Amino acid sequence: MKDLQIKKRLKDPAVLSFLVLFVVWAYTLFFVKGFGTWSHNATFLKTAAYTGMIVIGQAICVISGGIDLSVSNVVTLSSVVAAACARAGWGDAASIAMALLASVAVGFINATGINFLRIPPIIMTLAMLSLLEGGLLIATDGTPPSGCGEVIKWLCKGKTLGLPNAVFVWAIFLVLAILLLNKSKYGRYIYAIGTNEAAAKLNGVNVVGVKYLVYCLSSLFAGIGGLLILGNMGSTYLTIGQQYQMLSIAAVVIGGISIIGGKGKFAGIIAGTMLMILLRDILSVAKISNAGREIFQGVLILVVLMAYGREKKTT
Amino acid sequence: MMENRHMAVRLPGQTRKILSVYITFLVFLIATVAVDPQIFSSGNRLWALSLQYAPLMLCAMSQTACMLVGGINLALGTAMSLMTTVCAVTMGPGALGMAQGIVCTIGAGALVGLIMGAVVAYCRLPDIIVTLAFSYIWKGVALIVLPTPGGYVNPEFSGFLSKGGLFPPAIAIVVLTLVLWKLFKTTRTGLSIYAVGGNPRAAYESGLNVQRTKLIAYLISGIFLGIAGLLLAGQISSGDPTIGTSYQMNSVAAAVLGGVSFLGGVGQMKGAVMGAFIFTALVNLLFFSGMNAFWQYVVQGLILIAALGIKAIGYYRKGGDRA
Amino acid sequence: MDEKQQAFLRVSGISKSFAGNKVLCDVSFSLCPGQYHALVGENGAGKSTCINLITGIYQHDEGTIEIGGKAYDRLTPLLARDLGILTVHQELSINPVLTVAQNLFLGCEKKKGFLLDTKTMRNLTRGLLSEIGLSHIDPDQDAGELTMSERQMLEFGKAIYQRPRLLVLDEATSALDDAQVQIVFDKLREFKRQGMMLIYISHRHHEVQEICDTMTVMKDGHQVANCGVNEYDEDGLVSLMTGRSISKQFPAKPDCGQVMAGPKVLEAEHLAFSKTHDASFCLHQGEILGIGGLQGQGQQSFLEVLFGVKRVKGGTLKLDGKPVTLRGPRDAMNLGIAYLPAERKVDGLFVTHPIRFNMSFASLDNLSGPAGLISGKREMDLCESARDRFFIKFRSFAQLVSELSGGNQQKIAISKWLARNPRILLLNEPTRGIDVVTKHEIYETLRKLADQGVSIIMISSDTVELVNMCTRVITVYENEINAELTGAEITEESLVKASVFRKEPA
Repeated sequence: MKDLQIKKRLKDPAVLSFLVLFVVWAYTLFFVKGFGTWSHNATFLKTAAYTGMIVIGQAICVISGGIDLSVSNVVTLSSVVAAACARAGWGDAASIAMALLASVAVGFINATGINFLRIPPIIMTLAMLSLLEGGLLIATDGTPPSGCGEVIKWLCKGKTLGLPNAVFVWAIFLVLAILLLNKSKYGRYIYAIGTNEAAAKLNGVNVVGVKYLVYCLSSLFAGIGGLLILGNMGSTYLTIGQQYQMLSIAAVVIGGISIIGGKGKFAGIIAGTMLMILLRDILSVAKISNAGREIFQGVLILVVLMAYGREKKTT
Repeated sequence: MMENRHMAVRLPGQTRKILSVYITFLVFLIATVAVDPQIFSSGNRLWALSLQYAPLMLCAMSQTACMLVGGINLALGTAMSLMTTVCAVTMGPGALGMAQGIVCTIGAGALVGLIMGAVVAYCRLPDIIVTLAFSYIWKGVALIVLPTPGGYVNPEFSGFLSKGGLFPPAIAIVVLTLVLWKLFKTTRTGLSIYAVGGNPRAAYESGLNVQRTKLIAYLISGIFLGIAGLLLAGQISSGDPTIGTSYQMNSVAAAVLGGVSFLGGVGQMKGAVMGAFIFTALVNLLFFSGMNAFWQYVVQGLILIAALGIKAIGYYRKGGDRA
Repeated sequence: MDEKQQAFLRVSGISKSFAGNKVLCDVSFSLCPGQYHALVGENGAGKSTCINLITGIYQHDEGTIEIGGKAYDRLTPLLARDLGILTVHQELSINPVLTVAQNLFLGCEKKKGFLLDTKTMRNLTRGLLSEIGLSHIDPDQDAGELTMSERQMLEFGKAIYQRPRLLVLDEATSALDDAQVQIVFDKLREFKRQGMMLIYISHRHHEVQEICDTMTVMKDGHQVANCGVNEYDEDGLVSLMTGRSISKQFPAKPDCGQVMAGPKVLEAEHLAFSKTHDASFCLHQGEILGIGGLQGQGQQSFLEVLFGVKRVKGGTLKLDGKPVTLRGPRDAMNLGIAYLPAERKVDGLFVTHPIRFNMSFASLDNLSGPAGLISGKREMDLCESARDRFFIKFRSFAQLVSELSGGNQQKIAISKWLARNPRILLLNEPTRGIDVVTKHEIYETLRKLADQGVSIIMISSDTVELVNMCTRVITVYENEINAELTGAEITEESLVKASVFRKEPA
């Protein structure tokens, strides 16, 4: 009986991804030059942390049966707004607030399109990606203002107990998100919508409201991620967020969350995020070209999807 | 009720379903000619214009082939870039070199479609994520094939497309592709694409090979994309590993404007072609007055949202409040 | 034995296990040309597994399946088809985006060279449609425009068009009304003379008796009888299927007049919604009101409008005499209304989630604090009391609903709503496709609830059920109320009459 349970556990993609993470991490600690140091691992955790913020939002979307392709430009938007506010001489708190407000507004528009114009999430967020792309180009004329508040820098790069603050920010939001998804009624509703939207409606779930929550959260987390990335870089540019679209989706999938929604342990995304960042670091150490890295990311997702088993589409 | 049915019989069913697309198409056709009356009088204006419209038309057809089996191709943009790079790398001088480039590009398109189709069909993974993953793979491959814009596109080839023939070759190619599709649609495999998209389970129980049908749909999508890539390479006279990005979203918008449904099984190729025309004409008309080029992204995004939003209005009119 | 009497299908001692779980054990029967055979048993008794073995969807572990005198070890769906075995399932396989003609010929299209011969197919379709009583349908119409029962008929037509040697009807008549069932039976009788064989699965025993010659009665994967259909009466059959006897399937009805004297909890006055223009009806406290009529006459909208799913377009809806507006299911739930949809696997339950997730789902508001955090203990208490109240059988609350039998799934769907202590219970086909024992338990529960003052409206296509459960029945014809029957007026005959004939305009 106990054996059976352990076997069942091992089949859980979330558990599996943690196992793989530890094996790969242990390998890099001992066998990859430069990976064994404290400072390298602190940097690694910092990268995982700001990427992980974006992954949290993406994971909520995917569990609800949707997807958010616009996160990459929300990251850019948030960092550009914060930089512009800093440039205009606003305080750090005001800059952060403005950046997050702008991000949530994007999520709000996404949810409005999905709810009331009945546009599939993938298409709505794709269109939003384009809208933001154009909007940012028009607003900045191609070159965003430079600048970054000190608090934002501190939030990402400042250290507490030897670890970058971004790691603590990530940890706090992870705990909140896990509480939301696993322990609250809203979490149940999000899973329910991802499983079967019509049934959720007939069970009294306010589907429209929950979708607003989901997409606003997704954008909010991407916005926080954008701020941390800005803090890390010290200034922003218009393609700063580009890589995070694929990265966040890959991390969600590797973390064991079903891409068709409604299934998967939320905590798996921690392993998913760290594994993605670790693999990326290994690739860059191995001097793989940009093109090679793109191909690797794509192939990795496909391999992981196949490894976690075929998904049945419920119609 | 009876009278209604009689009315309906007079118009062929296929036409009736996308009547609004026909009407919109005509309106935009007239508008395009009205703002630019030079089209027919001055030299190669018609040729240049049709070459500008044709790549998106074929991209929309490519997207439609995937959407008909209930999928979506999110790798279309980067695969389109890849096609232009393949064309620019494989094409040589002279007629033979031209033929070599054409065959290789369409072959590459078929291969791209075949690979994605095989993964979607036989690994039974959701289309969205598979094609999204492949979009990164094709992006990488395109960068390997041709790291920077350039390459060689036979000037005779682009010359023929932009000036040659009695009739613009780009339009001829689109029409020819449509005719071939029409023929294909009246075969058993063609019908099975619609059947699989409408209800995969029922298709399976009727003895259709669902997986093979999906594979064929993606293969066809790839071939269409290869042709689209050829036309685009001919238009810009070079290859470019990033040029296809905008075709990703625009192909979806064009297909939706042409009445193709995301749910699978509903939609027609000629609708998609008309949708592509409407899309490009709309963008052209908006920029006719010389708007900032950055606005393109915004306008294209808005068109996509509007195209789907219009459908929602129809849905609410019918009194639908539950999916 | 004469060659004609040679059995076409001979199943001897077949068994099948899934993951060490024996679901079918030592079943044997045979079919000769012209023989119509029924498989009878509760849900989960192994009927479907048995069918799936014969049609090659699964392979049997033990025993032999002989078809046409040849034993097959590894039967596949395609092979079974080639041998002339065709199945019509309850789950509809009609393709909504194709036309009626395309649907009929899907997989066996007529060709003219490379291309399809649409003209011939259209004409053949027209002929077939008139044979199965669907002559009002155009072959070029999209199948998506047909009603559920029309689609089911089309499905049947598609199967018989292919002239199978052995036809398997798996609950294929459950979506049909009596008139349509008769068309199906007439066709079946015609083909019987030509030597076709039939394996028939239905929960309606009178249908089995009407059309079949022999039957295999199954219980828990075992064969408990193999006999003529008239060997047992209904009571005898029930005790055979369940191992115990149920002398009375339905609990006693209360006095009609007393119920009708109770206060009206719900009143609809000239209500317009969906395709219905004018519906007036009321519901008394503690009453069970039935909604009957032919299949697909718009009955479902009546419940949906009361649950806030369909919008009210006109008229007034009163609760306890006060007008109410329902903007959605949530409003209805807050007023103490609960709705059990017909398709429990599609609309009612999240079958890929654990039992616990489903049982507490409608009550999460009561189980969580202001921040929305759910109290684990209170949730478990709720689940345990629901299980005990309803005798639901399962291993643990973490088990997925999809692993349970249909009867237990339905119990979970009902218990989910009962956990909210609703005042008004709206039920859509509460016992469709459910075994006799669970049916009985559901009837008992409903009666008990009504006695406690809960008001119930139930849609049912089972006339017997309406007669024995309801104090009042309204029938619906083409989206409008056709008749209202009270107390002793409700008989099977009067119900059929009120369903089939449109009332004279006053």
